[in-house]
Amino acid sequence: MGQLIWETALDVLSILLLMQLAGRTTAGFSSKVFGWGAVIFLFCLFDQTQPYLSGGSSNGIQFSYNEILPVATIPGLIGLLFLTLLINSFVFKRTHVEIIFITMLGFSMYLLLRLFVAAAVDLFAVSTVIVSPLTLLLTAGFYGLVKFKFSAYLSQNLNQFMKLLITAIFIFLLYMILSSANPDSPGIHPFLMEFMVVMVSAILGWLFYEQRRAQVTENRIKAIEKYIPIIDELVAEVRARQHEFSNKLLAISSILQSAEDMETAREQVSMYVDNVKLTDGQHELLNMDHKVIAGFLYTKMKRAEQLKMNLCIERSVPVSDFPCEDHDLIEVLGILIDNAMEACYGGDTITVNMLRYHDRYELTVSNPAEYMDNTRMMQLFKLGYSTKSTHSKDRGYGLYNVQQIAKQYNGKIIARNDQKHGNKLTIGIQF
Amino acid sequence: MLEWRKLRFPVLLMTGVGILLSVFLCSTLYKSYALESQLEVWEVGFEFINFIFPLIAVLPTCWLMYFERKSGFLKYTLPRVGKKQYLLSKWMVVGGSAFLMMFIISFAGVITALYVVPPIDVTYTLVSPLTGEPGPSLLETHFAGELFTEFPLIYGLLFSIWKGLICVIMATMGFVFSLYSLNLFVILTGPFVYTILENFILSILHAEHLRLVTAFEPTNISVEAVSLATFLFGPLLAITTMIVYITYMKFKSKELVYAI
Repeated sequence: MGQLIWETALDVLSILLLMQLAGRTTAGFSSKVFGWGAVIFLFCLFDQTQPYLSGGSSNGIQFSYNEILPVATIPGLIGLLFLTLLINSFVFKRTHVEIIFITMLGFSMYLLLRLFVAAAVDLFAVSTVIVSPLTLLLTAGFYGLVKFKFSAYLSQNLNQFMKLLITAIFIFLLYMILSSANPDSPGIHPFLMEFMVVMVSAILGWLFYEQRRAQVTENRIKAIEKYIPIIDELVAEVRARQHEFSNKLLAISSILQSAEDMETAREQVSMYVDNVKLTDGQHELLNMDHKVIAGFLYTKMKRAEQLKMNLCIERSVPVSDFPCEDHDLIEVLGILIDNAMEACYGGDTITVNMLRYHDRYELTVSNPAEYMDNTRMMQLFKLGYSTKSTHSKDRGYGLYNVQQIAKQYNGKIIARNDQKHGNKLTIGIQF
Repeated sequence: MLEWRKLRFPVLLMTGVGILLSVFLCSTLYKSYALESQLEVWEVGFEFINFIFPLIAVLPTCWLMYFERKSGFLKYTLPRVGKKQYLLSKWMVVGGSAFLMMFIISFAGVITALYVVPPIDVTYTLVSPLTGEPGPSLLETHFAGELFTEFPLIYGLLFSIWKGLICVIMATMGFVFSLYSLNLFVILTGPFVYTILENFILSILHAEHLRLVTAFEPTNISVEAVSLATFLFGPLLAITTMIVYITYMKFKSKELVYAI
């Protein structure tokens, strides 16, 4: 009994870790996660100790790879799947469809790891006692590897093809396990099983990689399609002005000729040139090495103008040197500038800073604000927290997403009060 | 009628899939069993459906209320029809659909077992202590043995009706969840998970004869353990759970059906 409890606990812990990986949440022991583990553990334990409980049938089916799942009967397996689905819907803040795929992906990863370990134990004729501890060890290693090295590959939304594939792999694995439950069916040789597991894992891994690549390209194209025409507008605006330069030279000449004295001429020319010259922001954008980001910032600059605010860009490094994808940079800039605009009033200046500091790249947005203590500042990055409205459910995602993007690139969040010219709140990312 | 129109496709689809599953299971699984009576073919084939019956009752029916609440459609019904009348008509369609689905699926299994499957090779498993020869045992060891062996069609019909009625309770539970919860998994899998948990808890308490799955299929336990309580306790406990849930949501959580 002690052995059973120990093995079930380890298996449930393995499943829990993989569910968290599939659900893209950090492994932690909140009350919800503890509840998840406790309910699944008790369910699995009861199913294994009293197989007749699950469906009323006393002839519960034992799997030939009985080390694979922490349940002993087919009704137990169905119960485990539905129970996991139900609890996942409370633990992960995702849409219903996503919850289904998280559950299937979590179980698929568990089954692949478990089949690999079980077949290896069979192949090397080692005691089956080590199956559960070895699975947990492998799971922890896999979790760490994916979480810290390849988290970007899991952080994207699954496309239709991936969803289809996850469903197919999940059904295939279930079928394999259920068919192995039939004592009359020929067992799969452990070596062949290892080969199959490695192949399926490789295909799954490769598809995640391809999906990530396709998504990055798609996002890049979307950003280019959206913002390049905008920067072209800015260029056209400048060209239109250049076109009028001959007229302007004529106007300046007329001012000089018609002025009564040098002082008047100087004043009138100065006033005229003020209307003609480009703003600092426009200069900055035209000199920017990254057209997509420049186009995006131009839209924000126009918006700030409408709101009678001033958006100032201070950049000392090329934008393309920032070690992140364009769409992520746009998302971060968008969130930070929008937040700053919502917190500002007409006449305020918002500053976007892009600089290099001790071999790291910093992107920050500052806006005039009252002093904010550290506790409140940390709260800003919590999911669902918003300073703007407590009524809307759609609030409180922006800075949380910034934090997620920072994590994705192993970056750090910057949040500080700057008190150089009046108090300013500065938020950003250090890559 | 309007409510039925909203649900007819998923209900008809589930009924069709259920009939196929029932006919398939009833015409294949019995081959590896030693059976004494033709209707046992149905009992053997129906074991899997006995386990997933809450899903059959809830999946095609209870999603509707969730989406009507989520989309705000429910509010639009207020000027046209009273709250109670609307919810009652909805429940009637949900319950009625669940009853019909399970009755048809179950009775299709009965018909398959009695009239489609070729007559079984009768195998007596009980050895008579008097003669030392294997002899019939169903009369003594099966619930309602006489009806089961002499009038299998009536037995199958009555039990199909009974299974349908229990499905009404399960569908009602899903419907009650859909009145207050905005988690689709709670609504669609809640009654199934309830059945599993109730099954576990009562089994741990050594009250297997009081479980809802036993009420649904009393042959899961020995005939001596079957009593009136076997048929009443499980359904009544489910109804009590629903009442407790409604009371909690209404008075403690202050959740409103029409609040979305």
